[in-house]
Amino acid sequence: MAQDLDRLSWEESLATLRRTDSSGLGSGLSRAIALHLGIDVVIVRVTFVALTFCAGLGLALYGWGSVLSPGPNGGRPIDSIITGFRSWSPTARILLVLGTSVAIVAAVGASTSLPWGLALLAALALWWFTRRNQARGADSASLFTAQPMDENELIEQWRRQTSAAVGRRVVQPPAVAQPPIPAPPSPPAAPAPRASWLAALVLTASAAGVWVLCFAAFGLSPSASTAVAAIGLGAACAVFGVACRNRRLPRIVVAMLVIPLVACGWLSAGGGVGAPSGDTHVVRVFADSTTVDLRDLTDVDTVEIVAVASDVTVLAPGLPEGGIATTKRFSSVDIQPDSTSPRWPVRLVIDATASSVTVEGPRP
Amino acid sequence: MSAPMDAGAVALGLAVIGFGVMALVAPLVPAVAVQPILALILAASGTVGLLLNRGAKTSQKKRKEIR
Repeated sequence: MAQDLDRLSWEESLATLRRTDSSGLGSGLSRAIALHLGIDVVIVRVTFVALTFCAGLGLALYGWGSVLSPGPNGGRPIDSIITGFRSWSPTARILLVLGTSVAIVAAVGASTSLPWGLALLAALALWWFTRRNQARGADSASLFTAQPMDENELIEQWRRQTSAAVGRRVVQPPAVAQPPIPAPPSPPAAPAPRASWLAALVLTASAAGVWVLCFAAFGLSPSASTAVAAIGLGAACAVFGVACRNRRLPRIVVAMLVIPLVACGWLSAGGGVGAPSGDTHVVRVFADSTTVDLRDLTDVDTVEIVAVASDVTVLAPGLPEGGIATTKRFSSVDIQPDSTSPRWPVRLVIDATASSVTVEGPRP
Repeated sequence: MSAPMDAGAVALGLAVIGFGVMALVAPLVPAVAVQPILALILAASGTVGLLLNRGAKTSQKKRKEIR
């Protein structure tokens, strides 16, 4: 029974949070936590953002916190998503929360370069913080029954515990009735900014035009064109956000900025859009379906193929003598040259993210 | 009184600019430094967005109290 209560304590503490304001971009969880802890909401938001860098742990915690805490209507979203969740055993609930959180961290850690080790450290720190708070509560409870006290001491201790549970609030003496102070005239409220779909369309079309211009007119690679177009789009959105106060970009368009953000992040993590150095020949394919012919390649020690969201066919002159190293993230890599194929004096490295890479041997 | 600036668009725009520049200059940067720089760019742009958003919320709250 005690163990069940201990397992349920995290869920009950979440139930004490009430997301009263979900009008912003998020679910209002940060505001509810800040109100509960008595700290600035910015600190809670920054904490969630920082935890998101820990292989997406912040996203998992924010998601579960949002569905397990009551919303503005008083009901928990989890009860409408999973009917009968309330009747599950505590162990099943914990397993579901932990399992999905670990799955999210593993998926984000595998598909991005965000460190999962930091997520582990952050989870341990959160667990330690929770246990410390529970231990403090137990200590204060044990003080209540440890030694006999007289009535005055008991009343004083009850006051201290009540004020600690309520928080730092100063009880004001009853105010003497005073004539109401006339409120100063409120400044005119700013008109709510309207969504500008036309500006969003113009900005998106301009970014596409920049990409085409870079690729077709200046002969840049698709990756470099994507980076340049992303810079232009980001600058245009930032300038629009600062300059146009009575209009704003639609939220869905702002959210779509994550696409060039992730694309540029992948390109950066893969070594950028420049030329490789040394005796390594690097082929980068981004969101494309192409055939890479390496049969006439000479004077290289290593061939590295980086594919992101692409379908790539590699024509190799034979089986790499230096071995084949593959890194697959939601990808399939098919190596067709076998031990009977002619030898190819290179080392082949394949880094595939959401891609299908096929290495074909010499054709008859 | 003018409306507050669009903090979300500004923050995401700054992040996209930083990531785009980083994609262009990544070959010139040591590989081990790329991820921390990306994280710093994201954190900096997010902080800018939070600060802009915070100012807007504070002014709204003051207006409510005055009413």
